[in-house]
Amino acid sequence: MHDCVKTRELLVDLVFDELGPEARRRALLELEGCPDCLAQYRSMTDALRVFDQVTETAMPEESYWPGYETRLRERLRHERPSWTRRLADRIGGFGLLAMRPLPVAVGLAMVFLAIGWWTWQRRQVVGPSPGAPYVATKTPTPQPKPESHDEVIATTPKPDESSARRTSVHQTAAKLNGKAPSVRREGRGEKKVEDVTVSRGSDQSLIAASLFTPETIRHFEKAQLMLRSFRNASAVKGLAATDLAYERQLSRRLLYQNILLRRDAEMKGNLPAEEALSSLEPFLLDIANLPDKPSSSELGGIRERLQRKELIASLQISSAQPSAPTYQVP
Amino acid sequence: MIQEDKLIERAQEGDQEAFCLLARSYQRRIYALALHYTRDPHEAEDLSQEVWLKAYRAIGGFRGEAGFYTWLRRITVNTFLNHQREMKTMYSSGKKAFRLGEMVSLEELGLTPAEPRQAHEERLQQQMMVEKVMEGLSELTAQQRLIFLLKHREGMTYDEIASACAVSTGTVKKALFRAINRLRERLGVKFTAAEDVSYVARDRR
Repeated sequence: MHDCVKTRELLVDLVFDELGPEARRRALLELEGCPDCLAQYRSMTDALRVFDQVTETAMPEESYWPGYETRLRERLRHERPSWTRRLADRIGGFGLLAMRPLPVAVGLAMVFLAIGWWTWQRRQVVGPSPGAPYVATKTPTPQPKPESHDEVIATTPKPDESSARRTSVHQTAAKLNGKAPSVRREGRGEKKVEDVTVSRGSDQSLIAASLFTPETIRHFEKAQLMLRSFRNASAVKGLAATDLAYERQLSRRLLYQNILLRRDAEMKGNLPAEEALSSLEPFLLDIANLPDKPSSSELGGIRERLQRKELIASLQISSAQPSAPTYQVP
Repeated sequence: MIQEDKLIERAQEGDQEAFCLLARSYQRRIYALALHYTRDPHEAEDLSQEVWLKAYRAIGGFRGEAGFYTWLRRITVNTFLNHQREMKTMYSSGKKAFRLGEMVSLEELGLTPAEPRQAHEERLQQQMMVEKVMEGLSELTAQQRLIFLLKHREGMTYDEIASACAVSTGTVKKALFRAINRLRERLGVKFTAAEDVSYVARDRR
């Protein structure tokens, strides 16, 4: 049974040849049986035929095209080459970029990202140099001047003087390394770095805590206890070889830890920590390498150097925990 | 005759002359599309040359995976769609009458006052038909017009058109149906039943 509505729905497909051979054959059979549908189909195809004839005449004459081309050339002349072309021209012979700009651009972006990530990672690990604002921000806020008999052990700066801060940091490290504190002058006629007294019990520990990581502080504490133990044991005459076995073993462990911490401090540019750990390392090495039956001269030599460098006292200072955490811990 | 591949390679290296030779091969086809799309010869030239400028900028990215004309047609469709958006922004009414008087003068038609009267009338008759076709197209939306041109002049499939214009296949079919009906009405195409039967018989062969 012929259905005009269904047949007319197919007319567009039929006119534009979107039907398969079988569907086309069936559609044409349907048209044969319905003059109205056939008339519509015919009028559609002929409208397109007339359209084609008419549009041919709408096209410009031959004489139009040379002018068209001239105008196109003119517009192209003002056209700048693409960025890939310009880049390739500058690089010279780097045709790959011009031919496949997207993969090359992606590759370059990945390289830049990798460099950026590596730099960021490196910054995270290394941190700024001691003179950089990093140290300045980590330097503890100067405490109020103690009222009584506090020993002057370091120079601490005014908060707004970064050079004075650096002086303070190095002098504190020098003290921790067993060196005598010194007051640095900026030069004749220049501003003198102010000396500020800090108490050994509180402010000094604050400074130490600000300079060293908690891990380093714990390490100093252990080293200090081990060195005390060594000093006391080595002072006993007729010491049995096994009596120092514990110190030797502990010294080996501390030596490994010391090396790691020193490298870490070195990478982070933490000079005070690096110096302090470097001064400790020879002692740990000497104790760790002591023979089973060390001679009294060997023990005496180490003990003497310990006393001369005031290493145990310095370690005690550096491992002292702050009483009131009123500043940033690094 | 220089091969198209060679011209493309040279154009990719920045040779404008090679690109112009390439353009010469397809400029009429692109222009014809633009003319029926815009229904204005001046606008058609601008739009078709815009297509070439875009093609020139993008030819470095042409990798030959599809034919050059297929690639160029994609640029053409995108340029037309952008033009359509711009026109929508510029004019509230998208309808534009195609006027014979504005389109061509006698000189442009290649006619002289001394030309025989019959030839003159024939030419005018053709121009009137062109005007009717263009009026029929102007009653379509820009999208419907583009769909019709892509189907009828470019022979693209429903799916290709739907993908290029980001519409459904149903929209494509509706646009085509509407376009043909408008043209049929404008051109006043009518047939007798006797002609119809013979027509079907011819088609079936």
